[in-house]
Amino acid sequence: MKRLIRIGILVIALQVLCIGCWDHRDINTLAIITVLGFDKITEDGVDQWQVSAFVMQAGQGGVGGGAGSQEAKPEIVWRGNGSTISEAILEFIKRSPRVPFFADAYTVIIGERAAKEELLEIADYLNRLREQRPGAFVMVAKGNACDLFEAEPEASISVSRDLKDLAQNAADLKGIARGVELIHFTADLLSTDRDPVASEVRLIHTKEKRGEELAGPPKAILVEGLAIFKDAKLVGWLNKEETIGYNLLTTKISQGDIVIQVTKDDKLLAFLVEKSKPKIKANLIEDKLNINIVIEAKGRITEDNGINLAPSEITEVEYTISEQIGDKVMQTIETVRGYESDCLGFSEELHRYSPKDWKKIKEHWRETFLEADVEVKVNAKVENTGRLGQRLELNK
Amino acid sequence: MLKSLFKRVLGFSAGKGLKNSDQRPPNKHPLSDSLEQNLTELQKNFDLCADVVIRKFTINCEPPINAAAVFIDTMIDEKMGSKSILGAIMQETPSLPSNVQITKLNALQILKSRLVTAMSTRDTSDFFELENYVLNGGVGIVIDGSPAALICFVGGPQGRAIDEPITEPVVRGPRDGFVEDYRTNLSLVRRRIKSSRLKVELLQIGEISKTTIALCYVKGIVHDKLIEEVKTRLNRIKADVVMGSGTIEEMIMDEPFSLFPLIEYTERPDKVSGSLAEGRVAIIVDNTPMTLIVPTTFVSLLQASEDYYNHFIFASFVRSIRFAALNIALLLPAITVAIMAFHQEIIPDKLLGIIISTRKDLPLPIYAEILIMEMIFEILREAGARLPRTIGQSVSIVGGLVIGQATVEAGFVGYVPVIVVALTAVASFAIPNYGAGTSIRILRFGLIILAALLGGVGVMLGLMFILFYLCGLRSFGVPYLSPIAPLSPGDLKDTFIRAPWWAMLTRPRFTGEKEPVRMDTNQGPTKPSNEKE
Amino acid sequence: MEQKVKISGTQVAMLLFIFVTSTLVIYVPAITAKDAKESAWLAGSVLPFAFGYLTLRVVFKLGSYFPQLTIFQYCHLIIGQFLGKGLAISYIIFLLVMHVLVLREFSDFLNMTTLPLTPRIWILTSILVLATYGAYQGLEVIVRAVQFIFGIYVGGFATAILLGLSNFEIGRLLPFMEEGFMPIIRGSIVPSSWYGEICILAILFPFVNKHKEIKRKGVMALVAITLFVIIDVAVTIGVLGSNLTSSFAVPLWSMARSIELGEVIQRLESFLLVFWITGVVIKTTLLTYLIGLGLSQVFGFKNIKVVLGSMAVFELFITNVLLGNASQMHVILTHFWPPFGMVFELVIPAFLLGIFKLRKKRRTNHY
Repeated sequence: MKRLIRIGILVIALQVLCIGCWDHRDINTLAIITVLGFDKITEDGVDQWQVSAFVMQAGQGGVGGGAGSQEAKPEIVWRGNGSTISEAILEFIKRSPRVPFFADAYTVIIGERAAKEELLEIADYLNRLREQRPGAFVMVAKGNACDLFEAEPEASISVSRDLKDLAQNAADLKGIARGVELIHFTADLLSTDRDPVASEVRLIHTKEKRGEELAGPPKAILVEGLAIFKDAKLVGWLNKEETIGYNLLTTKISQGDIVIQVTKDDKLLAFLVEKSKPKIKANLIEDKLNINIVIEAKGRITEDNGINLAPSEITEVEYTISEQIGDKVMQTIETVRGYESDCLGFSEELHRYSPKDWKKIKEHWRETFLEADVEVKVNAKVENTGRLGQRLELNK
Repeated sequence: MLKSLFKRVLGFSAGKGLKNSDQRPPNKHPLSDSLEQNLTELQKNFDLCADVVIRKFTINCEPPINAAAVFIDTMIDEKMGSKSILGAIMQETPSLPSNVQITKLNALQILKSRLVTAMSTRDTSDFFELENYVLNGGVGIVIDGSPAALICFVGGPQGRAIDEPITEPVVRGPRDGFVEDYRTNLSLVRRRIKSSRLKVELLQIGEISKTTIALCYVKGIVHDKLIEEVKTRLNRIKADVVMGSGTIEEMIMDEPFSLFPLIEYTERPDKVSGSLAEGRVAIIVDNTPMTLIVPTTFVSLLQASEDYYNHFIFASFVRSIRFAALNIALLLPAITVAIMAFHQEIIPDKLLGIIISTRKDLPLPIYAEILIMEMIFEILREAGARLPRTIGQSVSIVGGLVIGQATVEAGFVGYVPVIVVALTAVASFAIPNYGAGTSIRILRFGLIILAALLGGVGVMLGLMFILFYLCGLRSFGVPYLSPIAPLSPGDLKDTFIRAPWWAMLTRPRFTGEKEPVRMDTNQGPTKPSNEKE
Repeated sequence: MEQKVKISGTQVAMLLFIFVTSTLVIYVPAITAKDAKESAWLAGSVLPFAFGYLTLRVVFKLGSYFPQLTIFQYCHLIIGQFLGKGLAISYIIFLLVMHVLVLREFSDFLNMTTLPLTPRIWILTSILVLATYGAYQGLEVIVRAVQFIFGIYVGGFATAILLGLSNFEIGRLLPFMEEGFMPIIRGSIVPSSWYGEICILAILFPFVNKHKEIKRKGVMALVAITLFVIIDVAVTIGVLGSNLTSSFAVPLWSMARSIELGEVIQRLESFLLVFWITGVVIKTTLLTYLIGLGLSQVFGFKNIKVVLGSMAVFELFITNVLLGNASQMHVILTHFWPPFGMVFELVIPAFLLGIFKLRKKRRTNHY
């Protein structure tokens, strides 16, 4: 008996030496996927998934940040088709000896059609994936996602970093888009009272951006606008102006750089919103949703075209600004309502603060949302007017 | 089965115990009355010992008494011996008062009390004791007709002068270090603890070497049980030769197979004095400057004498750096292997690109690279230790640079393992205790292998294993990880930080429990009062 | 193994804290959020605390009647030799089941998150070897190890939670108690059985040197556990939202993954893993020790190494073969373990206490 135990221990010990380790993967065998794209296409009449991915190629001539102009691209595109997402991924993985590594996928681009039809599946796959980053940005492409993979980078070495920077910076600074992280996206997707949004990304011709013939790759990526969903389906888009309204309505902005054009006395001036904070109050009055929104905005004026900025006039200017911002916001709300999706968080507000009222309208909350009375009040404050006091006077 | 094989390999069954060549026979051998007989026996025992001198002389008295001085001429100060022993006996007898008559019976007495001017004397009537004293540097005076012999101590053999301790230099603090002669070492300790409570007990260990061991402790602070335990263990040692304190250390340790040092050794008398004041016991071993201090805890691996001389804020800062260095020395290679092979998600993406490009065409997996580089660095370190100090350093530097650079350029290993291994080596030098440094080197290898097998989980499991092991260690009854575990919050003031001196009110709990308070309260510096005069 | 070990009240409290929270804190948000949604933090704390407190009282009372004996030893003093031995054996089985579940949770968690390809048996073997070694060293060593890592454990979790506050939105914790009390009560059943693990105090009782301290320190440990759970669940829901929390298998892990402060502080979940592993290792080591103690006390085994070794192999077998896959495990954890656990944690000790009191009364009535 003792001998048996000893032999058993010996066998187990030898196994440790022979088999080795299972999860050991050497770092240079990794295929680092930085952007994932999901598409639904029809090929030969059969609906199929098409998954595209940007794979990082390190060390082609330049190391990391020291890249100048290189012959080789820092990233290559892999693409695969299949009837399930996993099969599609398998298609392109099988051609390479490297192991796919998803933990660096900062961006997920969903094609328009896939967003309309299969959003839930995509979200499920992404969240189940062990290596997926919850902080990845979700974007919806106008058109097909795979076209975006043809783009070339402008500001950084690779398109993936471009995308990530644009999503993060555009969101905070310019207000024309919003970086939606996977985890918030999924949370909104699953919630009973709110609809998710995602940033919109599309291809543009560089001429549009640069206005010049040369200098600049032929295709560039722009993250602008938002995609709106309803019941896990893509229903519409918000353009630049409406996105600004959305941002003002839903988030607390603290480092903003949002430019708002204001017309006063037939002249345009530009108001830069730096800080803004919305306060939404939702009440149920006789089965009708009553929403009261107060937005506090603080900013400065960067451009005035002859409008008097004297201290006595400032209050009037502020008033005009507030009114016009309010109009913009109302427009956003109308557009959103046109799509029948509550991505602004009104119903969520009601649910959280007056749960009993929520119970009453729970069955038909969308209709209630559509018929709601919305009141927007904006308090804009001009903190300073830039370095110039009033304006440049031509004393001639 | 394995155990008996193991024993045979180590030579355990070679024989049971020491052969009794030098052991004292059960009966003592008394000196005989006759000088001639004693001298013959001495000459027989010390036959062919060229440095043993037997000097015959006569004591001036009526009738003259023959005597002989036995000594080892290299071990005494001849000038002083000639003046205080032989000169005193042979020349001062006339100055004795007239009523004192030297006869064969009282010769020893008179010599001892009136004539011999050596500072310390002893008498013995046992032959082997006489031999022992002579071998230890005493002058034995055998008198005809007297069954006892007188032994005088005059000076000692040449030894090294007191110098800065090599292994533990400080910037600010005393620079005297122990030497080989235990008497000098004792004096260095005595001048720091001028209290009659500092007790010194002498033992002789080693059948052939008969090395003198001095056991020092401060009575009243030390647990009596600790002293008893140390004495018991020391007396249990039945070896033939005790060369350095390492031999004793290994024989009295609690756990013979412990990886971590359970007994501290030092070359600095201020460290010894500090420990004695905390209630520990110091063992000064003749012929080696390394003094042992028991009991020891894990925290003493991080303490250096300099902490106590520098300002406490700086000292706390340095201690935390040392702790960080300890962690780096132990964990950095293992964590590198774990992250690069298992948990690549932790690496930020920009860094990932750089790392991949450096590892592109390398032949070996990362754990093999790190193991190879570690081996090379260990060999370099050993090589540097053998050579004289100046050459040794340059060899290490040059070897490290050249070998590291060359292997990277050739493409055998990547940059990352070389950087990691170099950092680790540097960090391991920041650990003050050399014994701990060696244990950490060994443990590091184990952790690298675990990391290669199971990744971060393996490292964690290995660390927990080490933790369990450390928690079970005791050093002379004191748990090894105190004061962290078991937690005694009052002692934490001297572990990772060093509390200012005016806050060190109590002694460490486990060793100084008998007399816990060592300082008055309210010793903190106060500003002069702001009243105008 | 029955060395006369003496541990202090504080050490016991720390031990219980790590013991209970190490498995609790990872799974509780998901299970309570499913029923109680936004008020999950209430579900995970109030009722389970009451349950734990009751268990503590009962066990303490029982222990104070037999201060030198563990529950294995005084079982048969209360209800007779035969029944008592049977009850003691069933307690050993209870501990065994708890141990096996913990081992399985641990290996599943590792498989799911960081080591997907490693066969389960290797993860289990490594942790069992470590646990057996620790148990062999004895209770004193375990307790000292607990003290050593306590700071790191709490600090690690606290850091993760504090950093998670960057994404925290208090609005997600509303609406509060939307559906009334029933969902909260439903959601607190499973955590109660986990809080009740504090009943192992019945076995540790004779090792503590100051018995009166146990009650106070035990309550302190319970309060600490409750606070920990409240913060954990509240922050998880605040960051992820209640729907997401209930859909993730291990929500705390996902919350740690979502922390991203700038480029530097990201992907902290691996550090969380490290701290959590230390807690689970302590738990399994203690359970191994307790089972070994129980076996040697009930059956009188002398050679502790054989007992521990064979037990480890036995558990390896059960964990690997008998328990099913992950979804079956989930069902076991949520439906079978709570009633089973609660019976052994509260019902049986209360029962023993009741019988003992009756017997005492009857005896005093006789004289």
